[in-house]
Amino acid sequence: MAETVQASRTRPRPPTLSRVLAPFTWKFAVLAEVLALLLIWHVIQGMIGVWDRRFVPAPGDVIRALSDLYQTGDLMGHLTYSASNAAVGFVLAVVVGVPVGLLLGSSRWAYDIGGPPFWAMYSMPRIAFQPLLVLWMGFGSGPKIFIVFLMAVFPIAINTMDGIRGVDRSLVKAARVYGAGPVDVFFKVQLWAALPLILTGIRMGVARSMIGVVIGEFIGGSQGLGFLIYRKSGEFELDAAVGVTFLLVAIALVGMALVNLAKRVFASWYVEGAPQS
Amino acid sequence: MSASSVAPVAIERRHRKVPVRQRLFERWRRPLFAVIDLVVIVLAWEFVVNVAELVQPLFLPPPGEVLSAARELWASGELLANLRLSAQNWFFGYVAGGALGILLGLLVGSIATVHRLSMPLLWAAWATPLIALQPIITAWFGFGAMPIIVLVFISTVVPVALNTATGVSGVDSSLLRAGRVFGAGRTELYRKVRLPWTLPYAIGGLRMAIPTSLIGLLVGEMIGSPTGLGAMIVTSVARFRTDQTIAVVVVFVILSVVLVSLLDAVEQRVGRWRNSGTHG
Repeated sequence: MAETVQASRTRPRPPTLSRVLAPFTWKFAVLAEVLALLLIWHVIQGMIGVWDRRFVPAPGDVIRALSDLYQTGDLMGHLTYSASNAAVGFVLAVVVGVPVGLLLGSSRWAYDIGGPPFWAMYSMPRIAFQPLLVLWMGFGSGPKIFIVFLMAVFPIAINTMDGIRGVDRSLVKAARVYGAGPVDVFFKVQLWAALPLILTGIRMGVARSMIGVVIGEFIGGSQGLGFLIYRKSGEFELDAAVGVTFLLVAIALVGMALVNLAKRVFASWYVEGAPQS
Repeated sequence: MSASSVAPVAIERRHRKVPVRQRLFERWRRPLFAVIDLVVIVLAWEFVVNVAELVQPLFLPPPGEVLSAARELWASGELLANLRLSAQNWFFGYVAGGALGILLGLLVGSIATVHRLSMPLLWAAWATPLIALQPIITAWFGFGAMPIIVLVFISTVVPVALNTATGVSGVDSSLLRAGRVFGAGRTELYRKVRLPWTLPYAIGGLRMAIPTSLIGLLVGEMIGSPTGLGAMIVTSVARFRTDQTIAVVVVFVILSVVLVSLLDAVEQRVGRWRNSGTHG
């Protein structure tokens, strides 16, 4: 139905290919750019071989190394290990970070009391604790999950805090006029109005949690993608190391794209970058 | 409270003089709570380890032991020597990264086509764990200061370039038009409008780069380096000297807080930073 309305308003124009693709032009351009970079890399390393290929692998080497890792089953094992740790830590971060952000953002007392240690924790490089975490929790999944949690929880909490503070006061007033109590105002207005920023924080958290994954496996790790990068570099199999690094990057980007999708679904009314009153 | 009774009370309150004690409390509320927090945390720490003995001091040494470990490390000169090395590595990487980041950001932000083509890549680099490159960088540059500096450099370039590019590409077009009306040429427009507009963004980027560069520094030093604060953390844990570990971590935390607040102060001076786009 919507299409007919649209058609009657604007003059019907035949959808040529260029017009259909117009919104994607720049996305294609970026894609082409990435492919071009890969091609240059291939020419420099794969065909000419400017540097020693053991040190700077060509794209073909990287793909071959990745497929070798996949075929031996190594890759999937490390991948699932990293992914499950990351998932547990990340969910914990959301479960803790959102309520903490809501509390700090909505109560002045909570902010004055909880704020100083919160900001102190936030501003310190938390990965400094990783060796201690290993000592405390052993060489298992514990410290890996915990460092992911530590990395992801702060951006989530901070954005939630900003979100709850930025809620348009007239929305709250309107809800009060219609007889909503504080509980209703919180759950039906403030939480929803803060949702876009909460999701922004969660997206940031995805990016940060990847740092946690890598650090957790670099220090006191024996499994996982981070460990795989570490070991393969140590064995001078840089093709595999570079491949796994790219895989990690891809996972991070996919994770963030998923959060973006969630934002578009649950907060479709929100325009990024629009001034928040 | 009904709505009708609120307004007059509010007006009345504005005229009433707030008691001095209350005003003092309002003014010192934040720092007061921060100090109380610190005292409570240290007391709780002391209580958990020394009084209730819930945790073995091997895992969590009491505050007093950490303090004496810090004093010991300081007296032996070990702390200062490693601190100096860390500071050196960080400084080289950060300054080089900041300079190149600003140049890159200006380049990316000033040319529309380059901007559209490069921003997605910069954002992707910002979103990805760059420290994952550490083992590869070590394989390239060998052990020593170089991989650490390179890691700090990489962790600095990306946020600085990203923020600078955001700034320079987002110059208020009415300012540009005003400049043109007053007869500014292209270079003058760039120098007198675009660059001043971008400055706070560049500084915001440098501010954002402090935590990331410190992470780069730590990762570089914790893995495959015998010297520096990061190496001290790792080796002291390996020797079960957790009192030293925590002392070094505290030093590092103080260092990072000082650096962040320094840049914050600069940022505040230079002013407009609020819509710098990235956060956390």
